[in-house]
Amino acid sequence: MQEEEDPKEYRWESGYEKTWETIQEDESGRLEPSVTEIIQRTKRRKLLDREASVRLGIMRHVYIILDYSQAMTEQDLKPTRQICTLKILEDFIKEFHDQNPISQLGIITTQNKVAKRNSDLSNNPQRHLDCIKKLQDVPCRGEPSLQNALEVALSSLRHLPPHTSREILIIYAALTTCDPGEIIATLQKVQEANIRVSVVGLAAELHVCKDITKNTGGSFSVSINDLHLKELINEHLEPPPASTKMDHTLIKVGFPHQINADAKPALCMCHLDDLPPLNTRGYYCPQCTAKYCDLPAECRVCGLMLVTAPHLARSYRHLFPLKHFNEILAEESSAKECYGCQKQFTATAADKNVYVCRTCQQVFCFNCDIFLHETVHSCPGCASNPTISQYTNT
Amino acid sequence: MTEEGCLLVMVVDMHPQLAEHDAHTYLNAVVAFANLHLAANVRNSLGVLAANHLESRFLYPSCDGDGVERQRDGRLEMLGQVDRAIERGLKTMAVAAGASPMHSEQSESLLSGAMGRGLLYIKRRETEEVLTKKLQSRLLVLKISSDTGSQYLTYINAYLTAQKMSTPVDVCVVGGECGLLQQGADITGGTYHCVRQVTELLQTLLLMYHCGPATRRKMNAPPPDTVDYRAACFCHRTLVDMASVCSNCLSVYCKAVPLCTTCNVIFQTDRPLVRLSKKKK
Repeated sequence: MQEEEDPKEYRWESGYEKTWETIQEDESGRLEPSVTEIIQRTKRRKLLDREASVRLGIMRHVYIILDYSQAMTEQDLKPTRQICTLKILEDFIKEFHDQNPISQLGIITTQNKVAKRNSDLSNNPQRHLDCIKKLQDVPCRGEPSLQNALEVALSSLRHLPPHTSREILIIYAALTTCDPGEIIATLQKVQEANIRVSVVGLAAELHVCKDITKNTGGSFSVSINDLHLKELINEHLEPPPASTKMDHTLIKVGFPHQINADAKPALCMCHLDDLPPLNTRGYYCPQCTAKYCDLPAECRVCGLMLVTAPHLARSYRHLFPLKHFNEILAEESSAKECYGCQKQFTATAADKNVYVCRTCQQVFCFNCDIFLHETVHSCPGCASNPTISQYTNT
Repeated sequence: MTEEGCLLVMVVDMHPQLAEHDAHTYLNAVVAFANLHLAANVRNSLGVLAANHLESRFLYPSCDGDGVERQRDGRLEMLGQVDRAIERGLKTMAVAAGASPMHSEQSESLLSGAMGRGLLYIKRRETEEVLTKKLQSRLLVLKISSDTGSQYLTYINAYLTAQKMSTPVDVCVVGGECGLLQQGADITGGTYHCVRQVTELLQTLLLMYHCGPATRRKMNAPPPDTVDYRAACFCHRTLVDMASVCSNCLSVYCKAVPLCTTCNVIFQTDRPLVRLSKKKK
C-alpha cells in the first residue's frame, strides 16, 4: 500500500522527455518514413505483448459497473462522458460476445448512492445492447457508491461454479464514493470470492480503486482521452490468465441440430417475451428439444449450455494463438510481393520491413501481418503447405 | 446489376481427383464464369486462386509473365488476359503436381490456405478503394476433392474472418456433399449448393452464383439444408449431440474423464459449489 512499492513513478516525477527527438528527417528531408515507422512499431508492440499462453479463464462472467453519477455529465470527453462511454461499451459488448462465445456479461450502474442491476448475467448480446440504449436516456445524478455496486455484483458472482473466471470491470468517473459501511470489509469479501476487479478511471487515480485492483489481480488505468479510453476498455476483451484458485471441471454442453425446412413453425424460447412471428428455422436443444433462434444460449428449460462447434473453435485462438512473425528488412528477402494480398513491395517507407512466418517462411506485408494476428489467427502460408497443415491441425 | 463494382475472388480446386470428372468442362466453366463476371460490369474485378494437394497459387492477377498482350480475337483484352493467366498458372501447377509422388493421405486440396489468401487480397482491395466507393466483394469456392477435416481450424478461422469483413463465402461442390464448407456458407451468409455432374456446373454458376446479394434475396433458390454443427469428440472422433467440455481448454469429451489429455488438468468433481478460499499470501 505504500507508494514506494510501486515501481512506476509518476509522470511529473520522471525526467524531462524529449518526445520530438524520436522523429527524424531522412536524407531527403522528409518526416514521413520516420512517422510510419513509429506507427508500425506501436501497432506491432501490442501484438508482441500478447505472447501466450498460460491457462486462461475461458468461461468468463463479467459485471461492468458503470458510474452514473453527476461526474459522468462532465464534457471533457465529447459530447459527454456518459454518451462517449456508452458508445464505447456498445462496441465492447459486441466484440466481447464475438471473442468470448461461452462467457456472460452483466451491467450494473450506480448513482444517487445506490447501485442497480440493469441487466443480468447472460450471453445474449442483444439484451445488453438494449440496456445500453435505455441507459442513454437515463440522466446521471448524485454520488456513486462503490461499496453498494460491489455488493450487488458480489451477490450474483459469488454463487457461480468454481471453474468460471469471475470479473468486475468498473468504469469510474467520480472522485468520491458514498458508502453505507466500511468498504475494506467488502473488499475482503470480493477477494475471498476470487473475483478479479479492474478499474478504468475517467478522471484521476483513486487510492481505493488502485487498492482493489492490486489486491484482486486486476488492472488499474486512467484514460487520457476518448481513444485511450476505448483502448483501455478493449483490453478486457482478451480472457485473463486463470487464477490459481480456480477449479477445472467438465461442463456439459449440447450441440443443437439446426433444422431449416421440414420443421413446423414454432416460437423460439429466446424471444418468448416479445412475441416474434413464428418461424421454421431454428436450433433444437438435444436434451429437451426447446427451440432457439440463435446460439450460443443457455437452455431456459433444462439449463444446458448450447453451442456450435465453430463457437468452441473460436475460443481456441486464445489458447493456440498464431506465433509472431519475424521482422526483416525488405532488401534481405527475395520475395517481390506479399504472399497474402499480392501487394508488390516497393521502396517506400511502408514496405521497409517485411514479415516472415516462422513456420512456413512465407513473406507478408505489414498490413497482412497485423490483420492475420488480430483477426484471422491462422497463417495461410502454413495452411497452403501440405507438410505443415497435415499435422498441426488436429 | 449493382452500380458499384463487385470483386469476385474465385478459389478453384485443382486436385488430381479432377481426373474422375471431365476436367475440360470444369475448366471451361471456371473460365466462362470468370469472363462473364468481368464483362457484366466495367467496374467488376476478379481474383482467381487455385489450390491442389501441394500448394495454393494466385492465378489472376499474376505478376509474372506480364508481356505486352495484344488483342487477338476481337474480344476485350482483359478477358484474354484472364484466360491466359489461368491457363499458364494451371499448367505450372499441373507440371509440379505431376513431378511429385501422390500420397494417399493427401486426398484434400489446401483450400483453406487459398481462402485465407483470398481474404487478405479482398482486405487490401477494400482498404485501397475505401476513399472512392464501397467495394462489394465475395468469395466463391469450387470444390471437387474429398473432405478429411484436417484443416478444420483454418477453415473456421477463414469463415469467422469473412463474417467479420461481411464477405459472403459462396460454395459450389461437385460430386459429394461437404459439411465443412456448408458451415462456412451458413456462417457468412453465402450460398451453398452441391451439383452431381460437372456438366451442370456452368449452368448452376450462372443461375445461382452470378447475381449479387440484393438479387439473391428475390430468387427462389433451393431451400437451405440442415447444417450439422455438431463437434467431434477428441477421444473417439465421433460426432456428438451432448458432450463434456474441459473448462480450461475446451476439449470435447463424449463421456466424463478424470484428466484432460490436452491441457493436463485434473477435474474436480466432488467439491462443494462454493469453496471457502484460503488467504492469499
